[in-house]
Amino acid sequence: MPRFTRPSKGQDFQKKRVYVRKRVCRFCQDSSIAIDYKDPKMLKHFITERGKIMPRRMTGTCANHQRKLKEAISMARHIAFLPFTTLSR
Amino acid sequence: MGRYENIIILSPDCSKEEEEELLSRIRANFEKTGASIIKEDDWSIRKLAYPIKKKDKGHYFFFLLEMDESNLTAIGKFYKNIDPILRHMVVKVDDKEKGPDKPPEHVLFDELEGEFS
Repeated sequence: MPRFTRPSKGQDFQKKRVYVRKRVCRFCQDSSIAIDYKDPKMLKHFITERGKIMPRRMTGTCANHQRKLKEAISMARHIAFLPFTTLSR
Repeated sequence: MGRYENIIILSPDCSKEEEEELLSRIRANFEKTGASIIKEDDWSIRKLAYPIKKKDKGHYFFFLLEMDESNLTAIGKFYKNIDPILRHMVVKVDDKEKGPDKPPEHVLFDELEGEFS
């Protein structure tokens, strides 16, 4: 009796598919949302609760818009709209 | 010539007279350097996302300027010598930019704060 049975290729594929979620770039979908450093309410969606910038693989933003987001977030941090870290106080 | 956005954070401890005197000095400096003010806005006292010079709040002022690129360093040097200015930032914007209609909304970041204070 075999100790370990390997799942057939079809099963493996199906299991993996469960966790794949299709994410799309919010800014490509809706061109009315502008990336602006003066809008901390919008930028807050793209930082973690500790204040770090969320990676592209979590938010689904495209490379072009992620670069613009990064610029906007670092500018907002300089003018104290967004925190560098939430433990500073 | 191009358009620039300028945000200044003043110390919240300033009295009204001090603020107005400072603002008139800032406006005079703009004139001296050859920058024309297109829009001026008072964003009132807001909570800072982190303390600057041991201050938790700051009084924000917004200017939309039209000037030459060479004036940037002069304006930066002018702000550095004034004590009640906590932060300043100048950003180049599009030539048709008209500036925001209203100040940005207040956002809270103290989800973790309660645990440590």
